[in-house]
Amino acid sequence: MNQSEIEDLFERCHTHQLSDEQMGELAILLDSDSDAARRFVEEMTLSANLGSVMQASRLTPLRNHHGRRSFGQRAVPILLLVFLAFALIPGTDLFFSSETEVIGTIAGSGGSLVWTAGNGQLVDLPGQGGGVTGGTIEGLSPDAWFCLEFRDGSRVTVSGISVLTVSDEGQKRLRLREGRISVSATQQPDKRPMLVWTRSAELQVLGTQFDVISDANQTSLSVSEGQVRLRRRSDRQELVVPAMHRVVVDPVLPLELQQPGTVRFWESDVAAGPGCYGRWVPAEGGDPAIQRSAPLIPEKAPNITLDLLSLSVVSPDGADVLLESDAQVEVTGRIKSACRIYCGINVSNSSGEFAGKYRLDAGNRQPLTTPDADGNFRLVYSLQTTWLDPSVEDEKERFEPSPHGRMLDHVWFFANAAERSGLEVTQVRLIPVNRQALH
Amino acid sequence: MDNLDDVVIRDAFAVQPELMAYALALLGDYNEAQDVVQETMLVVVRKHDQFEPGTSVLAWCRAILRIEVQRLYRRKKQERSLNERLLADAIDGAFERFQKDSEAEIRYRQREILQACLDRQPEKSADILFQRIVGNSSYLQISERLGMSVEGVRKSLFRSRRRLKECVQLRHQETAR
Repeated sequence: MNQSEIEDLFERCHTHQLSDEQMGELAILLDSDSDAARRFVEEMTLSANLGSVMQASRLTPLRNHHGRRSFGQRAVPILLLVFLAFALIPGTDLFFSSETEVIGTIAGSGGSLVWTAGNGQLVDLPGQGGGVTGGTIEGLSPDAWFCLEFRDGSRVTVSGISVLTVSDEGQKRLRLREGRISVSATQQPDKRPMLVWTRSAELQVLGTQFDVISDANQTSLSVSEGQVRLRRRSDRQELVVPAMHRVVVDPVLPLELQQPGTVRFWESDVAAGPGCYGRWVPAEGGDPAIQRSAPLIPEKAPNITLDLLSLSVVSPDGADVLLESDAQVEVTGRIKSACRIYCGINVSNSSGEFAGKYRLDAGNRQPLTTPDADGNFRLVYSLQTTWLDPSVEDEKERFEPSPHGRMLDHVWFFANAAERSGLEVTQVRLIPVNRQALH
Repeated sequence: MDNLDDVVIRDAFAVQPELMAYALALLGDYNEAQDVVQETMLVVVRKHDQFEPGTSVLAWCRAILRIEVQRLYRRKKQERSLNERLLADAIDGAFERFQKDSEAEIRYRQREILQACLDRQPEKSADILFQRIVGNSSYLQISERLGMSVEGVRKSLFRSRRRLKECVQLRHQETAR
């Protein structure tokens, strides 16, 4: 068998396109040719890693202002989450120069987080009020959040699945590799403004409140107070973004100011791409696209495994999705057996700052949901009875008792993995009271 | 959890990239491979106390994964031919001989290199790779979506893989220097 034939067999194998005869040939080859067997393992490893890297680069919630789904709304496979949890982040001189000096304190945190200090050591995250040196914070689950208060009172809040590197040696430097941050900056020295880098933009901040969402391809900046100077890295084009304006930095879109509006109705578009957590299965034949749950072990309850899925909330025109007290969240999907399906949401305030996580289910009193004969279910949760998620209970004084009047960022559903529910979601809607009769 | 349990579960989760490669080889479908790896992790969490200290966590996880693959076939009520079973055994043997679990730092570095090399791919080539590996699309499906010939898709994939391998190799050599 020549080299080209061997490569063809390998290629067919990892896309399940071997004929029965070819399977026999490949089996003999792997058993009899050590070199081919080694290369086969390398090929499969490359493909698996490639898949993981490509999925990872198509994730993170990102508001897209042109109606199409951005890469940012795709899933983070648990593979990546777990990989990140155990991976060391190599440092650079730029970001890790403050190896030992405390740059600020933790103002609050929750969910699964990993902190890599400036010297590359994975360290336990200190509790509230604990000091931290420069380093990298990674939010590993949709419910993760972390608030760092610098010594001058400026705050940066990371929420959801994010990777942020921070340093402060008289000038604050933040690099948002992916995810979402909200920044409230006190007046910074004129010659040493706070700098924020993403893969596609550079921001210069003097004193302001703003919100940044970034993935491999786009950056969305929303400024609520003050102004931020922004530079697109691809062509060095600059723009000053004033308060109450938003800009999407994308190499192929015009760099222009937008004034985001507000909507009250939202429905998911699962078919457009993976959600924020879980596994996405595209539509096939007559079956709709689904977001399937994936296991998660909560930081505060390591003896429990949850089947969790999460979706980013993005309206087609990039408008904020406002939560009203009489609205409902409706979810449809499939389960393999009767189980309790819990529902939670992440919200932000009008300036985009993380404003808490709330549960819409009835907690311990959540009734069993029984699927119909085809395994389908439909559930409605009311926003009239919400409660703070236990992961933010320690910080409850920071958040309002209810999410009413806040902006919806993520919605997530979970079941206890022990119930082996096989929870899958095909559609989620936020329905305001005036449209409830229609649905 | 006590310390040993903690270590077993942590080590098992850390070898997920290796398990993905093994699952992909057995199943030939990226999404199914992800599902089976997740199922494997659930079994690991449930049965971590059955792990025999001193043996390989990766090999233990592979054994669990192999059972999960068999379960998947049973669920799909899919009979496997003799050649298919022989191939699964041969794949098992190849992975047992040649798959090693890497240190987290090395794994991270490898991913960074792969990401950097992927960034250098033309956008269309990267898209074809994504559709083929993650989307599990056939040559025909990709060709129809992108308005290319089937042969064009096949050649593009072949060239992309070759470029990636060369790039990864080169960067590893640069790192080693």
